[in-house]
Amino acid sequence: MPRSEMNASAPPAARRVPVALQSLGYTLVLAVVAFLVLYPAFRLLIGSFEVDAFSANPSVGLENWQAVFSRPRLIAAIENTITLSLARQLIALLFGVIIAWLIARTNLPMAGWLEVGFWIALFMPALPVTLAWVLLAGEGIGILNNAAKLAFAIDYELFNIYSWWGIVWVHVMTATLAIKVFLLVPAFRNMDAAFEDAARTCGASVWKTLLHIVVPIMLPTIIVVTVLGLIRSLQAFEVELILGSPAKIDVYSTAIYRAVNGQPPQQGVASVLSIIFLGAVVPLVVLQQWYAQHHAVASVSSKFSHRVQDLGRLRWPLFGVIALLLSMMTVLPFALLVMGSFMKLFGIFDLPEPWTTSHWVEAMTRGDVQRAFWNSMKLGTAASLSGMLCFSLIAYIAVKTRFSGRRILDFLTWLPAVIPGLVLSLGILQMFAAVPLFRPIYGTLAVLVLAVVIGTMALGTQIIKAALLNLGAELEEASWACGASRFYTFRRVVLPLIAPAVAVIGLEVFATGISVVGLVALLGTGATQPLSMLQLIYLDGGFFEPGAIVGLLITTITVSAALLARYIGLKSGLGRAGG
Amino acid sequence: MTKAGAMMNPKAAMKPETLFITLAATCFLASTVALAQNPQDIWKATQAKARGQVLTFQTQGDKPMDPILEEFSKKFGIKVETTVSRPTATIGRVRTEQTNGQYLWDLWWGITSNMVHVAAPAGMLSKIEDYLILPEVKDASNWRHAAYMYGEPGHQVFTYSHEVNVGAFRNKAVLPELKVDSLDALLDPRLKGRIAVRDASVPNAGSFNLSTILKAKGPDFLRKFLTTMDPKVYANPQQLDVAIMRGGSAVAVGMQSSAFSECRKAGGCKTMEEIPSVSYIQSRGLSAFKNPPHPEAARVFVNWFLSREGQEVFVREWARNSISGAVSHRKDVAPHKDHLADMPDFARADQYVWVSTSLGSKDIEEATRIFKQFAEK
Repeated sequence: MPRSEMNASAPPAARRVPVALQSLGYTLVLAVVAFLVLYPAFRLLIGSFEVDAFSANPSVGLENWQAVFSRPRLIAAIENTITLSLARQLIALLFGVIIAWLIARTNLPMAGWLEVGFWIALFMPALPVTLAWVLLAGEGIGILNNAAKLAFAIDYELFNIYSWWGIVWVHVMTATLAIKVFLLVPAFRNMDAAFEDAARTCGASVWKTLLHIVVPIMLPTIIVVTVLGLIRSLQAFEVELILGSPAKIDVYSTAIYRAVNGQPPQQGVASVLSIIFLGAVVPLVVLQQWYAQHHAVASVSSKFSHRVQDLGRLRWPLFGVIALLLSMMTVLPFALLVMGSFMKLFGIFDLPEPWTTSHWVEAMTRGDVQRAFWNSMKLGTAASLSGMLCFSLIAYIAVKTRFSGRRILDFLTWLPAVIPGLVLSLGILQMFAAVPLFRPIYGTLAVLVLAVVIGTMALGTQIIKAALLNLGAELEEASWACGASRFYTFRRVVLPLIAPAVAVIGLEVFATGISVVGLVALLGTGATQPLSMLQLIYLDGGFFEPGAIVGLLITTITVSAALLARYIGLKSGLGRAGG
Repeated sequence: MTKAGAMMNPKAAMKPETLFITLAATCFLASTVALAQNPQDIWKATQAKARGQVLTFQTQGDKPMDPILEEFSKKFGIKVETTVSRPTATIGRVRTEQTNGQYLWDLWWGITSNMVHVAAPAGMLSKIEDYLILPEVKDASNWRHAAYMYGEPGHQVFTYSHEVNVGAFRNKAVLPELKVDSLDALLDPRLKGRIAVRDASVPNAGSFNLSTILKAKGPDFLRKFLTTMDPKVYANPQQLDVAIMRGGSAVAVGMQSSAFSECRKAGGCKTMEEIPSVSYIQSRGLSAFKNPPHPEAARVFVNWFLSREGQEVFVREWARNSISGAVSHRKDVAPHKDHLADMPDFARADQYVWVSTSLGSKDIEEATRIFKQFAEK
């Protein structure tokens, strides 16, 4: 019997709340989620038929669809998108699984600090870090290239960041690998060591155990993380725009970016491109759902044990390799960002006095920076708390109940992830502007919170869902048999076990709230604009130095929050293996 | 009896007292209207109505705007709330709101390209001319060239400042043997692959610069330049700056003049120089959104800011907080001494590309179209 169905069969002792009332509650959740995610999707469809939306006489027609299919470089862009996404996902998956396992389930030295290192890498601001890599390895200007020419007496460029592999490299070095480690470590921690112990007892090596025991058990979670990563990769455009343009490498999402930012904006064309994207990605989601339903394995049971695997002589060499990788992902770009923020002109060293503190003085004394700082804090905190609560509830309904609409609910949570962010924000704006219920909160911070929650719904729900699927049913059944209610069981049994996953999601939603741009670009007002919007405005205007300062501020806030969460988790015992 | 007949009938004529009251009322009304039409009275009445209102702005976040708005708020007791957005985001947002009957913004302040080329034709703006009250603002003779007071023929966008920007830059440290003293030199085969161009598929200094090449040399030259010289296209302004300043490229097309000025001011970019060419004019302006929620406050700001006093504050604060652009279109407001080069020569105004007004629409559209053809090949 599939795991989810086994989980769904609750003994009568848990049903203190009348079934009809429960169903009503679940239906209400389904209705709210359906409205929040289907409305923007519906507007997307309508928008695809709106022709000349910015003229005095807009009309309805198929011109946007024709325009998309007559694009000469569309096929090449799709090819680039697929190959670039697959390449970086495969690399990140391979290393992500190994690193997550090493951190979570072995006696790797300073594993906790290495994990924090990946958090820092994940929270680094993408655009300034990409520009930092340009300064390091850009063709003709790269510091590393110039150093290599001097050191090895060569007359060619050793690195060229403006290339297919350059794009892959920067993605892997920024979020692609880091998010895999970030999401997989808590899941790996929750795995029962009995499986590994059995394999080791039978004589399997550490690596064989990883490949034949750990990976198959964790596959549903790995697949969720991979599908989410793949969707993110397919939508990514910032790095591609900066590194791909000089090398004439176009991807699908840059076409959407150019349509949205054209003069006039071609929102209809962007809508068509997004609908095609949605159509292409939905089968992936369906496949993932089918797999999760049929192959979930409970790895947390009443006999849970967490004994770490001994790496033997490989302990310190492996630590060295990961530490080196992390320093490339964090120390190098971070140092360049800090350096850039103290330069009169980023990357220009041959000035009489290239260094200055004026950018910092200005940033720290500007009223809008201070206001944006507090807005970001409020936005991140509110979105994080709301997200943890909502996603836990949705995931619980999808996994642990027999509600007939649970699969639809589960599917719906994916939708915000498969609509490109640039276009999703327009759909959300339409919702707030058109639906009378939302109008009173339009212009307040609540709108931004809701947008961030919608935007992170897929990631949050699916990761918590994967954690719930790993829980053996007997844990709850034991609680119910003792007369506990469903809520009490959730609070005292389920929640502590999935707490690491929920905390990670809380942190990720917080980080999104602090650094989000696309989702809130159309929704913020002067009074509610967060730091991320200020950063975008600086960078857009060519003011890298203050942009880098705001980026550093964002990173500092997020990393501080992560460290605080970790400290609280460790103090309360939630951060340790198995909850 | 017909109506005309009744009017002629003495019995039907108005009683004296009625006639007196009617005449008195007419005189009172006429004098009231005459008084009310006095601009100073209208100005005072508008200020009184606007007091306590919160004026909502869409801006591009230029640093000098803050002190200007502070001064305005202090003087008139009107609170100001600015929302900083990319112009394309402003367009998308306000259009969506207006389509759904939401009118939340009063004024839009910044570079006028999107106001002129998108918002005005889409009917998103009010006629700014109707907001002008003070004679010193309305009087076209107070402005340097009447034809450039408004950004477009519908008088929905007031352009109060026009700034000269140069087209392209050369770094002599790269290929020093090469003489690049005209646009023709851009086709020198030795420059192939050594030219950096800002992505001109969206409106920015790249499309503006290409429009100057188009104006100077025609579409065939621009096509040839893009297709045969294999230029490297950069999406980010910082990327382009670093490419030319660090000697990665010999020529940059689409670099902001202000970045070059900044570098020179810091004592750098000594090997860089402008390539003589057609210049483009970037205009700054004000527009009022359709059905603004606080029209009186909007009127007060528009009139104060476009008055001599307001424009003096503009020039002073712009010079203090920005490397370029402290030039007013008002005749009675002198440009800042360090920004004199930014002032257009209106005697040869037709030789510029006016990228932020409707005068430059065709050039920009054509340059963008040619660039897109090249980029999508």
